[in-house]
Amino acid sequence: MRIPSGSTKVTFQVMHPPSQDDPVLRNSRREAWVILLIWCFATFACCGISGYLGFQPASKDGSIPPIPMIGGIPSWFVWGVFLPWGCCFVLTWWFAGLFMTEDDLGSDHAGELESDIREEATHG
Amino acid sequence: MDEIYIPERHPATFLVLVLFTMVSLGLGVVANMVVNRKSGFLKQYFLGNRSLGAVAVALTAAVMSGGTFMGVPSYIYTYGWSVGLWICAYMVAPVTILGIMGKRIGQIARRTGAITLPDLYRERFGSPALALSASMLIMVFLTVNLIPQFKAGALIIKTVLPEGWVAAAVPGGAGWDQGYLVGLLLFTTTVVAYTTYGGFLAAIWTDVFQSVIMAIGVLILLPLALQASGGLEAATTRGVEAAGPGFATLPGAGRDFLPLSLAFSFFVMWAVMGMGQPSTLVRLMAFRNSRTLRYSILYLTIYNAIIYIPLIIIFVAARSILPGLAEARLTDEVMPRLCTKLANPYVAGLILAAPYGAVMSTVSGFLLLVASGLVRDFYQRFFRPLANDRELAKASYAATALVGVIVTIAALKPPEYLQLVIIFSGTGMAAAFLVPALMACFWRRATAVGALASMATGVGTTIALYATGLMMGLKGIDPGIGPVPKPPAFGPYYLLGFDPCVWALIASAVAGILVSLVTTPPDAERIALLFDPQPDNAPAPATLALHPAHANA
Repeated sequence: MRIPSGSTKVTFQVMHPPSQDDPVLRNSRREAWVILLIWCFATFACCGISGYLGFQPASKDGSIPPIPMIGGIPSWFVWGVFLPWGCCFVLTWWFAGLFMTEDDLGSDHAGELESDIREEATHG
Repeated sequence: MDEIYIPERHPATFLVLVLFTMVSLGLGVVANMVVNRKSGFLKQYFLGNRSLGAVAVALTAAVMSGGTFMGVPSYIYTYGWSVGLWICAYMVAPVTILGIMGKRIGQIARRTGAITLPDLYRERFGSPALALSASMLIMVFLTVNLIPQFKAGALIIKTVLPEGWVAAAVPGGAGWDQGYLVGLLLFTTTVVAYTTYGGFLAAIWTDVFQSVIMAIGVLILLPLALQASGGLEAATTRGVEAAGPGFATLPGAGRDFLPLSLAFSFFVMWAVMGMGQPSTLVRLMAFRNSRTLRYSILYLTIYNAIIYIPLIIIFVAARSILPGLAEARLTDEVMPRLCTKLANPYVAGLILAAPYGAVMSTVSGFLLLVASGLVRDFYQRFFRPLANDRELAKASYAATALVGVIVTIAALKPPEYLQLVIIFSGTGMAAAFLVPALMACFWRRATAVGALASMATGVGTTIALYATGLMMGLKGIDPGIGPVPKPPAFGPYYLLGFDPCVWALIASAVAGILVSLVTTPPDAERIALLFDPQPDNAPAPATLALHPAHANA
């Protein structure tokens, strides 16, 4: 912000009570919770299904039972990785395509910060 | 023992890589020509004038590095299908990395005018000490991380240098690997030149170009590998015959590679800690608008599926196409060997451009981060705050080139255990920056001291767990889980079976919250500027600090 020569005051808003969040903050927080749910789904679906199907214990006689395959891919991988991957693909498209809001991020104050750095050096 | 395939060195493969390099260089020159001189040099040079589009954000946030095309293939070849679970957090990474903090970082960066990550912390928390700490950590971690990246780039060129060309290029010297030196010289000259000349925009454009080449390379290699292995079922069966049933099951072939605790850890590492990487956070300061962010999430979701799923299949198949590499401890070379075996020399060059491009894009981004720290956070802030754009431009070019030269000298004879340093520094950086960034975005009560405590605790926890692993390695104790530590390298200490990133994240969060709560609340006016709705002409926090506020309730 350009400060007129000689001026020592700037004007802005402080909200009272101080909890009226900026819309970008409000939307970002809501979206972050949804993303957390998607991450939890991916993590626990992959680890849970793969863990349940993927460990191949030896049978009582010590031999290894045949590994179930689907199209040349171990079945645990199909259900525990590819299936959640497909679900996440759909969820992500829903999230970014429909749920996520387009917010105005405001104007860029980079030039103002540059001026402030110089002003601070000049006036101590 | 199986006969090991010896890769051919065809001049055409090398020439394709040289062509790829020249295109990258050309993009750097064009980027320099289109720079908007009116918008302030530093913002343009280090942040691309906050003008990144969706494709650029998606492809440059893809977190591909040399490890994606050299380390991951080696693991898949060695441990089999379990590595798919190890890496599959990339299914959710686009939405976490870009979606959680994207808009808020973009907004705070605009409201504060920040153009570097330390700038952002300094203006958000009103703390020069925090900014200085962040800057130091970025410079130390990234400079160390750059050394193995330079090494990886040099090794790729060395792999394709035709026989006889090397001796002609560099006179033999005792103890020097001539091929490596030529590779290092070519790699360094190119990547440092285009990054120095074109800045952030050059790094982004070349990243996009290189990411497209990576996808093309992977998609060409997929059918070739499937055909050569006789199909996926035959490949898996032969992998099981060679490595044991663990090749097709958890926790992996020949070792407890991926117990569930580690599988969970890697969902934290790739999808959560990825948010805290400085290179990612800087991209979140540089995108054009929130629509860009939405589309970049969509594009990155597709891109990750195109890259990672084929990579898993290709290198499962590689076990049957290139037998014997595990026994000969040559699994790190599986990618270039597979390319030269399956494709004609021109196509092999194109495919090999994928790992080469990944390394180049990582290096260019890191170089700029370190240089921006030197120029903005040290030179301008502490020594020459009145420097004009011309002087800052010279300083930026000099800093970028200087960092490149220093790393090149360090990479002349890099220690062998630097792969561990890459993982350590990646974890350390995320542990340092993720929680403070989350606090900066979402928590009004977060204080500068809390952020500092979070940073210090995250880094401290990472160092402690890696140091413990190092000491155990010195005593010859194998951690028993995860990949086999390569001599003389050491693995981290997996406390309760979890990777250090999980503990670092928890410790960092606890410290940040507790210390914030017991320290003086932050300045209400600064917080209002960043958390309350504000008119477009509201001042930046730095202006507020310089001039007494006149707040309208």
